[in-house]
Amino acid sequence: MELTAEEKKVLEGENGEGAALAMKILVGIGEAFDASHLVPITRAHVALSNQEADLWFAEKLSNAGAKCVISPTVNPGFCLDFFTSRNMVGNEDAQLMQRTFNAYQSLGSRMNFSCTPYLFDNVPRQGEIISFSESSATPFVNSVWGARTNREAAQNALCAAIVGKVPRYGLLLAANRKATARVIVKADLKNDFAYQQLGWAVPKRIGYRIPVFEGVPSDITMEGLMNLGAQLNTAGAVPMYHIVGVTPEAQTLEAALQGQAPEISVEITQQDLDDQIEKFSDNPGPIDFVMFGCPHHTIRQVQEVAEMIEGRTLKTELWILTSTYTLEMTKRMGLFDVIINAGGNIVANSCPDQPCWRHLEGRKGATDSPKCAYYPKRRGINFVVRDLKTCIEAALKGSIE
Amino acid sequence: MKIKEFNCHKIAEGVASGKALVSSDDICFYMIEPKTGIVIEKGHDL
Repeated sequence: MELTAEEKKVLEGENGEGAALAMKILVGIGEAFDASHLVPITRAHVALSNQEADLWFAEKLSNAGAKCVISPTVNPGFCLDFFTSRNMVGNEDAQLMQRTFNAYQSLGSRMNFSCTPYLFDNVPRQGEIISFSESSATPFVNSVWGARTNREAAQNALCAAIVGKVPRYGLLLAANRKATARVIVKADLKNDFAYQQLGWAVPKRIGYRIPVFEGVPSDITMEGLMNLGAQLNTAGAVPMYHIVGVTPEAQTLEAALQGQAPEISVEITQQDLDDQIEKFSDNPGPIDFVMFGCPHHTIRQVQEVAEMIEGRTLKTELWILTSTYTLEMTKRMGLFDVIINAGGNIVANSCPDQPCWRHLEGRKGATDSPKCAYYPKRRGINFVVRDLKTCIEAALKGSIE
Repeated sequence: MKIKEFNCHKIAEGVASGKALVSSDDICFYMIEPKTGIVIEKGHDL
């Protein structure tokens, strides 16, 4: 990979040891992907995970004096005030979160702790070259906003934020953004949950190809788009998709395919969608809790929950995870009180895959997100996955069909 | 022991060697127990 004189100086340590390490990693990635050179970025999002390896890397860079040239937004860990004030985390877990906070703050991050930065605080325009990690964020910014990012790991997005550049390869190049798999949907995409099923169904059928969807209604919601990308990129490694007539680079099928024939063409039926539920869901029955917000619930989703539980009493725990912005909105709109009065909880800055859920270990809950069911399995937390309404009804009666 | 040669890219300095573990399924390192190396993903071939 060719470096400019200025980039070579960064690599040699002129801007400090931290910047040199970040540059070294970016150059390594560039070499691995046959990139010709580095290009500047205008935005970054780091999928901070608040796990030991994440903290080790962030502290290593911070201790070496690294500062972000492009201030990145960051993923949620858990809300330290909320969970410590309720004695839900031990000292060790609280210290992990505090150290993660300190490391990312000192690196110069925007401490938004949100997995949906593409809706509020880090929104690119079409064609912007950016570096976004986080499985729901990468497909959203590529597909919905038409920005250009590769499927970054948290660590290389952080390096990109420190250096202000990324190696030029993959989805930064127009030719690599073309759809190579045609996906014809012959199923009823009746609600946001159907896009969770669709996102889980497709990767096994198309492998690492970029899909173009036909048969998706043009009134698909933002939440449907979030769900589709999050599941495509969790069940598989699909950092970009096209929807004919909806996404910016797919105003026509021909445009999405860039005038070429697709490598494969698949049909997704209602049966295919229905079959997914068994793949990502635990068996139905009595449940102890319901968890929403993977990705973080939007204000519309919280409104839907609040309407269903207003004036009623929940039989199980209810956890709604959301952004700081949406939490503030729920307070202004009276929704916060509705949820609390029913016995539920709504909390910002937090993720289902964190050590703040130790009281749920070995227990069974319900969620509307396959991704929410997938990751916390490693913590011994089990989920039945159903649409939002079915989950709320289950929270009201204590069991799920 | 079966010997195979691969063309590699230069990424970082250093020399390492070890046995190869070959999987027919994709690997998500997140779904591996860090302490034991055991794959915890349901249905994974490793």
